[in-house]
Amino acid sequence: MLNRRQLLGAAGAAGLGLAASACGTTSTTSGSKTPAKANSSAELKGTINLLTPEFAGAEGKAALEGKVLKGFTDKHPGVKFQVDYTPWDKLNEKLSTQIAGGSPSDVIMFGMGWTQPFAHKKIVAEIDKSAIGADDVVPNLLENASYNGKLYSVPMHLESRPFIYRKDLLGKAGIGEDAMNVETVDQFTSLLKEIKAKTGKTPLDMLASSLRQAWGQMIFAFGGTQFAPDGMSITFDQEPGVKALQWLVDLQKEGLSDFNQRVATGQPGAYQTGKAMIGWQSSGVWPTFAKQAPDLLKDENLGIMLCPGTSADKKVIYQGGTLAALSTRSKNPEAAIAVIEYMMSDYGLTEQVRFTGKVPARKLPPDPELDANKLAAFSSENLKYSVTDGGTPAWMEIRGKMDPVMEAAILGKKSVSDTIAELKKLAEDAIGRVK
Amino acid sequence: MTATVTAAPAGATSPRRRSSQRSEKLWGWLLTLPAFVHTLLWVGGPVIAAIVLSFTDFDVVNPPVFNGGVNYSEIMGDDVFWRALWHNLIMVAIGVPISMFIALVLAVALNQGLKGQSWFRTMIFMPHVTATVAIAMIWLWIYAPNAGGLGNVMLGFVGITPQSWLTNSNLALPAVIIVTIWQGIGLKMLIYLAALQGVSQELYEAADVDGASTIKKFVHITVPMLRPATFFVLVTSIIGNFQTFDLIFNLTNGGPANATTVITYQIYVAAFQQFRMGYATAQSVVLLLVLIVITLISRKVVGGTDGD
Repeated sequence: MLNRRQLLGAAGAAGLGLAASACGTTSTTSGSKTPAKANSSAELKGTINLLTPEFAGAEGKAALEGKVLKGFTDKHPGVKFQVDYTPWDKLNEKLSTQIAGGSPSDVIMFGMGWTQPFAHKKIVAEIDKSAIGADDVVPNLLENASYNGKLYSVPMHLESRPFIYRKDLLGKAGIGEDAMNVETVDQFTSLLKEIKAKTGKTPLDMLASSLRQAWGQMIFAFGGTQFAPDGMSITFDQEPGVKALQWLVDLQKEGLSDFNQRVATGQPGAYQTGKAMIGWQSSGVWPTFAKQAPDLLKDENLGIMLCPGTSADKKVIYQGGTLAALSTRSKNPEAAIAVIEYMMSDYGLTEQVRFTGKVPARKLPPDPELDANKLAAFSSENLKYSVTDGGTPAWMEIRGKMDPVMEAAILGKKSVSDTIAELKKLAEDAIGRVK
Repeated sequence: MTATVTAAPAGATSPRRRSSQRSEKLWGWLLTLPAFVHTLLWVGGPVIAAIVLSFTDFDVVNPPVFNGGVNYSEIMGDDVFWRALWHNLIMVAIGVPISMFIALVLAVALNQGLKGQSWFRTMIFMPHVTATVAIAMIWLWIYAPNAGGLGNVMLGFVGITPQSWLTNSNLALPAVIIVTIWQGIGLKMLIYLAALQGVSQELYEAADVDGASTIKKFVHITVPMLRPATFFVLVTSIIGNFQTFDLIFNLTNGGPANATTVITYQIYVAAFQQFRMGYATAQSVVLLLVLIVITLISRKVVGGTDGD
């Protein structure tokens, strides 16, 4: 006779197609006591399912399968790839439906801040750092790829977000390069006001981006953090978090940045169309700008700067990124980990960032094409200033709910203190559920 | 010619007739059996599973854990969920009557044998068969928050400054309702058109003899004769509105500041962004109850197909 737990399990399977995961898939890595590492001498074969939010479209497919992965299949002809291209905004539900269906991909590529939740839920397996070429990855990036001191994913390419500015238009308005060399947030705010007064245009295109990420960066700029180091309590309700949110709210109130300049995915934003003088842009826009608006990338038009902090030595740069992880339910973990190792190789990583335009997570041999991406080069030089949001196992539950709450503050519908209180409640509720 | 029908005395059905009735009943059951089994397996099963899951904490990865009525008590205190329900009700209260009225007027107009009416019917029905993602893309362009968006170009003609349709929390929901009205007219019009074909012309001829005006004929003949169709359109439109998801997902993501979020979007967020399947199914069960109540009220108000 079924007990209550079994009955509930059966109901879950019936309702959500978990039957396959419960019966059909043998977990090959979740029970392993040792971190997964590649065995280069083994003859690899089988199919590797790869889930990636990068390499969208026909060009992306050609880059990934025709170049990046081809080097691997040339070496291991017995391995075939089944690639699932899922855009970032659908990646979370793709993962959950894969898990519910009992067939998560062998290699999962996801974003910064996702490692801890997935490691906590035992969706991704621990990885041997030395075996996958991650030794020379910047330490703070490896921290973001770790949970409870163990590595669960490998940072591959980073989506750094420096401030970029229209040197040409600002110059015409009488704002020279020297004026852009600000050291603190206060000086930066004064600069934005000056730009508004002299150009009549929106000084900063930041609120049209993800508010969660903007706040995440500014908390660090104001000298704070979002969560305690163990990720089990919040710290964003402290003074830096409040100041950071107030700063964003004031940007909107004073017309220094405009939430209403938000555009649909794929449409050119306010910076690209010349409506905003400073953009908070991903290093990954380089290839897009190179095609759509190459003039913006010319030396005489493009300036790049870090986000100032509370003092000259507290500058920050937001770091998103793409990490690769090994599924605990992979049927072919040896080949899967070999794929991750290969993707971190000079050739594998170079070919990836050549297409994505992002910053490689470790130093690569000089490459004229990659070196031409000034945003990536700038970000690469400033990786030590990297900050990112997240850092709690409950992040996947929290992150999706933050933007609507923050939008209310930016639009003046809710006070900063009420917004922080609501964010605190939803974060603590979510953390309470993973404890 | 006259026909005489002699009713058989009650309880005096012949054995042959009784056998025929039994056979008819049996065939009736046999023919409905596939649909019945299908419904039982693919509708009844998931509904029961959802109800069971709604009393659990289930994160997809680990087995569900019974948590009593925690999900339901959380829903009671979930402001965003009730806000989403309110948005659904607003969409129904405003969008459904407007779209039904426009659809009825168009159906009557396109039932007059006008030149090119087939072309108009096709054009009006087109949004219904177009993928909602494509529709959302078109309306994103119409609602583009700058002078280049078609909506703002139109406003410019009458001297109104460009509006931030989808990022202004006061405008976003009306903007979404406009799209649902536009998208929903086609199917409603088609149903009304089909129903209009069934209205006897003799009724209109008799009204003509009595000297009734066009409006009186519309009010006293067309509208009452379309009552079953109206009930069907009303109930399916209400349910359709409560199921709106893809439009919200592609147009606004429920924003800004939850100004356009609806229940199905909240269910999606809970299930696929937060991995809280137990909570999401509890929300689904509440949605089911809301729909049952609204359908019963609609039946009471419109009268349904009783006696038809």
